[in-house]
Amino acid sequence: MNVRRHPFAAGLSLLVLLFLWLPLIVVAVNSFNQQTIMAGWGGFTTHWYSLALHDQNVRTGLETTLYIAIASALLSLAIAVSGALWWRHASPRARAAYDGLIYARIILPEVVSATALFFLFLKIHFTLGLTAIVIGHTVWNSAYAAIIVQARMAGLDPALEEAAADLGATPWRAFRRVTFAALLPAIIAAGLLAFTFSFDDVVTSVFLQGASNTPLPVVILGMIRFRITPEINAVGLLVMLFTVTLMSFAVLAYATAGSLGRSGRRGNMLDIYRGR
Amino acid sequence: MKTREPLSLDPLTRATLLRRAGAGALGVSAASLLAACGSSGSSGSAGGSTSEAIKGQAILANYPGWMGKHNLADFAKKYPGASIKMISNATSSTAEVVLQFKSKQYDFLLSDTSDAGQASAANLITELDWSKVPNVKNVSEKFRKAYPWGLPTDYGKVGIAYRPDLVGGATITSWHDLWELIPKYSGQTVFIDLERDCMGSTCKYLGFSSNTTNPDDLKKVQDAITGVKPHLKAFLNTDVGAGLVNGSTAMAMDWDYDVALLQQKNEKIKWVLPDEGVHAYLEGFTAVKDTSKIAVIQAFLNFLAEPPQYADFVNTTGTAYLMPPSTPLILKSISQNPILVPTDAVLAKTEFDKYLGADGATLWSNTWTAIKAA
Amino acid sequence: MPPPAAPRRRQVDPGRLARFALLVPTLLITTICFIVPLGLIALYSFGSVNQVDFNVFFGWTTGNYRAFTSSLYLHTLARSVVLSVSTTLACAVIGFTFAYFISRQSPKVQRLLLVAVIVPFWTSFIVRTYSWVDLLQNLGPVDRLARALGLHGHIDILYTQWSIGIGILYSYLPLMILPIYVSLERIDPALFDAAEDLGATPWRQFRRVVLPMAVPGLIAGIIIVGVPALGEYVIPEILGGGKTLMAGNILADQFLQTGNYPFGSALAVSIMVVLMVLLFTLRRAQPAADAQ
Repeated sequence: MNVRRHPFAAGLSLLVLLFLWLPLIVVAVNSFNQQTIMAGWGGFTTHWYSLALHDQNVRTGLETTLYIAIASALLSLAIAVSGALWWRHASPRARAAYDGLIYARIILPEVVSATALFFLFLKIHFTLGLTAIVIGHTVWNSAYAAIIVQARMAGLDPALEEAAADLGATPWRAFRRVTFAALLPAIIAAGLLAFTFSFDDVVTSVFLQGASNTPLPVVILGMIRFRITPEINAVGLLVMLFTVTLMSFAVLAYATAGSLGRSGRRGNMLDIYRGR
Repeated sequence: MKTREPLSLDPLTRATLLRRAGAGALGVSAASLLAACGSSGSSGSAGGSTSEAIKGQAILANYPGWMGKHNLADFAKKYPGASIKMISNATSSTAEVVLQFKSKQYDFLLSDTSDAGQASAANLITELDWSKVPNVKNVSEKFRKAYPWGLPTDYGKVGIAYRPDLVGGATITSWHDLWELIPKYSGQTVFIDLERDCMGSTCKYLGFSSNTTNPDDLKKVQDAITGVKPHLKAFLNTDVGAGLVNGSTAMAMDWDYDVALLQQKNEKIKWVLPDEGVHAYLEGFTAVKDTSKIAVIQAFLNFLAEPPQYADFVNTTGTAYLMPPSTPLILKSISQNPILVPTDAVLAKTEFDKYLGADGATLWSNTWTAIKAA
Repeated sequence: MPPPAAPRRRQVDPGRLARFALLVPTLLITTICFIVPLGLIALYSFGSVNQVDFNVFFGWTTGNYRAFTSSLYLHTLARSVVLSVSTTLACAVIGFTFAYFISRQSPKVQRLLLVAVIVPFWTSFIVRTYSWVDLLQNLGPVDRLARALGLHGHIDILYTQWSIGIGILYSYLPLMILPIYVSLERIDPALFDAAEDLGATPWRQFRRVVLPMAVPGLIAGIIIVGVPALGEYVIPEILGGGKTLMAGNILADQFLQTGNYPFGSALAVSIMVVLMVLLFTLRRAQPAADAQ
């Protein structure tokens, strides 16, 4: 590790890492703590984990959040990819407007966009609930996804797809084998980012929940409003383990797709020519 | 300790019910007609002829966990084809509760006196047909009068909890004592982060009604709180008194049921019902206007008011209770706890929150914002 | 060799209609679910509310905006801005240093460090933030450490502006680190060698090579952190002990507690104006960055 050349930066970075991991360590340690009031160590127990795993509220919350996150991620990807494809051949002015809307969606404080949607739905008598939450999440999720997909798209040479067409591929085939394949790592990354944001969202979910089942972060918020117990820490850690597993798949997929891209691109072009 | 087999209806109630069922064929309301015709599932022949109008799922908006462990399951068993779906909304505030009434996505809600009062003023509730909820007679009169819109379920007084060993052995018996000690033990007192509870208690300290809408009174309340605010540790609405257990907090304005629970963790914590009196919230279940499930709601509320069911509710939530007939079935730690038992002496010093009217509510919320922004 | 006589297939560039079709999903989500609702809010900011049933009606008043000028709100908004700005600046300094450090490592180590930054954020946001309550409270680990180091008395960090600042810094640090890192990563290491060959000191190298390249990422980071930080209300609620009212709290309170939707809308519009000004500034800075 390149430490000697930048001792100050290295020292600060170590502190930063500690700072970032400290709460996680506290959560992990306390989830095994027998002591309920935060007053030190009371003995090791897995009681809170069994409580969390059997808690019906937590289970329903998990199912609900999974549904919302997957739906929102898929929707966001559809919007992001189609938008990026449009962006390729768009005029600079149109592009500027498109980019501006992406940033606007990301930067606007969530409490504002959630309230705005809340009012709209109330006005048009659209029932608040899971669909409303999915829409609410997709508003900003699609922006994050668009940034990632677009960044990758910007690095692609449009000549590749044209060359494929010259070699006899239909537009659809050219798209699928060249552009889409090259975009795949970004699509996976964007989809997982959108999923993670949705999974952990509180503000939009609170505003647009209506009478639907409660998403997991809101369940946790409710548990805290009632009383803070280590069960919450257990839930937090379980959520983390779940996300880590998911993300590991993402990284693997990204690395695999990426490496295929590096070594296999030319081969694919010839395949197109051969009509495969 | 709890009896779980269904209590057989006493002869008087059963006779009343049967008579109602007979008259029901003629005078049945449109709502229950819809419920009866549109119902799917088992034909409800169990439990008497009234249950055939009691079908469908009523949606309840409630605090998380604020229900007896077996209430909902037992109700579904007793009335096949009827059930309650409980949605736990993490936040509760008047604006949100009123919105919940408006949204028509729930059939009935847990709401306190000010919420229900406002909803009633806005014409958003359905008055219950008390003949269908005869068990409401189990609720003490004082509570029934203070909460006429639905079935009152519980109440909570706001008093003082403190650790005498952390305040130099001082004894607190009044809000005056508390206000004097706050600056002496700076950074060790917690107030409740809710408008009615915090300002209401301060009203008591100053000798006003906790339902005053007099602007001069409220100005004095604002000054009293902002005066000690620099010495407060925090305004909290969760685990308000938790710091008392490990000593990070010395004094707290806290709810009775919370203190009762904390005393189990550390006996050094003392509860005070201040001399000047206390304000209390009173809440219950109220039906939303034009709900199609009114029959189910009334059946459920009647069911909940049966002593064993209500005892289950109280034992699970640990709240101060208001139905004396349930006392034998309630855990001794609650029914014999002087903090929670509604004796006449205690009730005499308790003032329930009322709906303050549009102007009053605005005045209070402006004052509260000024306090929090200071 | 491809058959020369084969008819030219349709250009890869699809027809204008097809291209527009690609834009439709984005148009739907941005107009119906973003611009229209925000327009509704702008409309409400000029309305009044019935305090009993919370119905909004239109009397066309600027009263909601005039309410800002009351010293109560100005004071709170000012404090909010100061806290957000200082936290964002701290975040920028710390984030930049960390991003710079990462970018100077080998690719393998870079990836490891990035993962190390992101993993803690896969716990639930609420749980993470509440763990700071545990960490910062009296008799908590931080307090004990400070006393062990010789600081007398309790250090009362919890439930102050400092704890809110720490909470916001903590939550937004990755959002600051990532764009800066992306900018810095693009710097060709050869540039450093060239600069060194030309006799530039490490500081000069930093100033002339690194800093200019980092500027777009830095600006992006500051905006992505600074504006949402202004609207934060969950963190101040949990870590502020209810004693520090921030702009985000006032906003959320109007919608969730008081029901004064027009006033809340006016606040929201103000934040939107700030946002648009910043976006405009960002657009101005971007072409300069692209030119690099």
